[in-house]
Amino acid sequence: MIKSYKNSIIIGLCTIFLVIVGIVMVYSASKYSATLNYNDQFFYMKKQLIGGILGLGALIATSLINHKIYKKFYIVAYIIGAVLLALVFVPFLSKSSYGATRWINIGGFTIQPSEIAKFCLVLFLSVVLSKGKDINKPSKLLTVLFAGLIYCVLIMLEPNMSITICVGLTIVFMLFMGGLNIKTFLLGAIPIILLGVGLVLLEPYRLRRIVAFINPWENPLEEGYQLIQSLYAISSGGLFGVGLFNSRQAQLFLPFAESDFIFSIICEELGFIGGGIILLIYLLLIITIIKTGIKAKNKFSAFLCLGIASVLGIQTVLNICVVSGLIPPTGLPLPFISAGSTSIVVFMAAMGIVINVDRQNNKVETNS
Amino acid sequence: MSKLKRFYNLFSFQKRIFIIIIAFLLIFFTIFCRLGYLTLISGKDIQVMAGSQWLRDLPLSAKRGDILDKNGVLLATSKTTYDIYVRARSVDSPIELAKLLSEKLNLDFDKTYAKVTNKSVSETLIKLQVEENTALSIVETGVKGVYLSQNVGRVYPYSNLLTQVLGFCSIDNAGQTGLESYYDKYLKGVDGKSLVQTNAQGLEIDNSLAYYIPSIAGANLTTTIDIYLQMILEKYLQEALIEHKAKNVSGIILDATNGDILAMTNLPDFDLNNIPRDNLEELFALSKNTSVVDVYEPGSTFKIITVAAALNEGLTDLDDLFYCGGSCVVDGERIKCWKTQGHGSQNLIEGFKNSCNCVFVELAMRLGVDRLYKYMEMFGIGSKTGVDIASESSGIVMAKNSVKNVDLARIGFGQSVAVTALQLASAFGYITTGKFVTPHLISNIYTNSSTLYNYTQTFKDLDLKDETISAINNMLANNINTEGNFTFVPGYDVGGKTGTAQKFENGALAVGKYVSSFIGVYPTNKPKYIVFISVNEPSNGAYYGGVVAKPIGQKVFQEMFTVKNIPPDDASQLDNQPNIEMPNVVGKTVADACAELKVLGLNVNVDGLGGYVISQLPLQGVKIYAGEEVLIKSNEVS
Repeated sequence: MIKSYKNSIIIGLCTIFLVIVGIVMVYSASKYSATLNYNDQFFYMKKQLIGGILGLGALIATSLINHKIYKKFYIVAYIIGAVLLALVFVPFLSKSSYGATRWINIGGFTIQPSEIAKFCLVLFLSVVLSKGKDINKPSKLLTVLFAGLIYCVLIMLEPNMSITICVGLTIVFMLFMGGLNIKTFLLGAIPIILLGVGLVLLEPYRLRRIVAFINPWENPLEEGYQLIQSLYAISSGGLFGVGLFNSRQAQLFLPFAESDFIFSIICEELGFIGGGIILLIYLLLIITIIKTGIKAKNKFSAFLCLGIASVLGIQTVLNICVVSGLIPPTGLPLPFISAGSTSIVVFMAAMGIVINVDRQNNKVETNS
Repeated sequence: MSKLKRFYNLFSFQKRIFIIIIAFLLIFFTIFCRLGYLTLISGKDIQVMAGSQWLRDLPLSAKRGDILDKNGVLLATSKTTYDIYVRARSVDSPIELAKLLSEKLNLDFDKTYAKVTNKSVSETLIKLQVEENTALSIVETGVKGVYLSQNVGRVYPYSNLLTQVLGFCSIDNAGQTGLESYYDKYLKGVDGKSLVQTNAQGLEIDNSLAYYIPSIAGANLTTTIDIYLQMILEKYLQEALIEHKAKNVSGIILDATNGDILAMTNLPDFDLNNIPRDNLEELFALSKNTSVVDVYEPGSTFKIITVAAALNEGLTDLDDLFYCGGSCVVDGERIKCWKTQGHGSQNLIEGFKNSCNCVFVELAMRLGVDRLYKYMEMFGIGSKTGVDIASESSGIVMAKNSVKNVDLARIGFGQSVAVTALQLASAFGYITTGKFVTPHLISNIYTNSSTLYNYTQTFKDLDLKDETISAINNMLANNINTEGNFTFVPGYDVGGKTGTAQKFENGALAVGKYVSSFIGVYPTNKPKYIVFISVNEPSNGAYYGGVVAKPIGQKVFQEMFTVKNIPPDDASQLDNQPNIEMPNVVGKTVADACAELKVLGLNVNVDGLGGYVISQLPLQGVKIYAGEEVLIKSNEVS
């Protein structure tokens, strides 16, 4: 029994572990700024805790609901995702911050539609890829690309380049796993690269960020500032870190320490060991999800798991590459850990779906 | 099942999944390496850069060294004081607070109460520079609304004493003048710092003292100053400043045996604890050590150099006879003696005592330029003494090759040459001891653990014959005492020379502006103490060195002997006090004055040809000995 539920248990434990690490680290990274801004050092931690509890509820719910039901709603899900993304542009619902409109306000809750839309698209693609014609058929490929493009454009308009890249890469991953020709890939790469260069040139801040990435110390107080602060944090960690709650960089030096740059604080406080263990947990989680997908007895379930694994993997890799200076800075939360309730609830719900796939796999096995 | 298999085979699904997994593993491995590099390898370098933003260094100011006199008495020290403020809005019990403050700080209760209840300003100053103990005792009571601001300030226990010698410091304790400036690098010490962790707003993080580099206290200076002599000198100079309405007065007490400057002052001065920083002109003027920085034409006091040179060269002797008819002629130019009708016939001793210009013109002519200049150089005239005081002047001496006979004659009696007070005082020491020493203020520099520097004097024997030295000393004693008796300071073997120089201003003689000076030597049989007194621009009638400066020197010597417990050279003369009080003869006819003074047993010298006395020397009320010479000046000068 336990052996057959091995994947579910690994996914569940990894998820809960990461969420708890998130709650603790959000507190550590934000206690200073929270005291300063809200006069409550637990401000962000409380929100994260609520997010974790809601997420746990979502995880349990989705793990119990047969994921095949979603198959019927793939068009609806796609439309809901698109509508949510569009709502960001409705003035009285939207909420702006740092020059971008990425949030909507519903009944006192602030949610980030792009976090939900990512998974709507995964569902949509899983269904599209698993049924009907070969993906290499132009009509189908264009349908998929068009559906993806609408999402990308909507997210890009917020603007939120990082989620756009994340969504774009998820589409690429899923097309690859869906069996798209390597030739088509190479042909498609050319316009995408051109598009990317065009987008970078369109918004001057993106170019500055790339320059800042190449040499952050050239402009240490502006574009390079965040990366430098992040490197300061990581590099002061050493093997074992400066100790939990002892971060110096969280003392207002590192902006977004509790959200996009939380991994820097983890490395600072827990060192190479701490950061490395968390990396391994993510890797274990991603591979377990992929394994669950491979074991799935139908294409839809397989694609669903692979899609979720893609989103999780891509976002995790992008986030850690940014904070460690491997790729130019772009704002992307670290799944399960970064402050942000929408992200945590949605990712935990996605984990629930994978657990459900694993349960279904086991059922099929016992039945047959 | 078979349908699915076909699907896998068709799109090589497993292969693609395998590629994806390998890709994730590779990417995670890369990230792993990157993290390892950042945390374990590049850490140190980046830490150095990060340190600059995490740590804020708070300077820990080093305690500035003390300055002491030769007896170990503290002349300058550093002290932590507190300014006390009250923020009326934070005060909870104003009456109690006002009571506490007024008691502890000796302030008026009503005024203090008004201050602690004045809510119209954010904070009110209660008292500046409160002693540490007092300030802390107020805070320790736990009253609310009292705030302290710490100052590490320079404190001069003797306020006005040694104003120019000690000098003062800037607000941030850097030496500006005097010893404070000259030895600043020793006194200032090395500031330490504490590196404190701060947040991005520069606020200190609690309990996070990162590094602490203690400050190193400055070294202490022991000076050659003798505070007791300094007090005597300043006391009598202060009196003289007022009595003679002088522009300024200065004095030096020098130990001729080793160059120690025992006392040195210029008045007026200012309180070093209350520096007039808002009046820079005044501050600069009053903090200048004029004895070393300013030059003046010395007049008669310079004659010691001419006579010493002539005696040493064998060009004259004590019995050598000179004649003064009130003037002498050099190269067709008439040079007047100060006494219009002349001193008549006199030997060298009398000529020196009379300070007769004609005698010194004659001596200078006998010496010639080369020889006089040789001695001037030997006695340090025209060159800096090397004293440890900033901006020392070397004096003004005419270029040797442009000295004509007339100039030579004038230099002979102290004109056409300019010296600093310290130069001339030192020259007196060199001539009366035959030894060359460098005058200096520093004795040693030490820290709590070691002595950094000990002043070592280099003694140089001057090319002076013993007979010359003893002759000069005898003549100096004879100058101010009645024959065979120590009457200047009864019982003490003091010698001296007075001088009265007319000031030059803008290249012309300044009418009515004199520098009146006196240089005393004690004891003349083995000189040690040189006392230099100079009164610049006395404007209360009298201006002769003998009238203005000499009595100051007399009082200084007298009290010095008492304070230093110096036994008399001839105890039998201790009671030999002057018993004749000089009457006032100014305004009387010359004939009446002469008659009156002769009845008292005094020798009268009359200067001028008029019928009425316009001035007298000594002044009325001065006690003198029978047989002493007095001078009256008539209303008509030849």
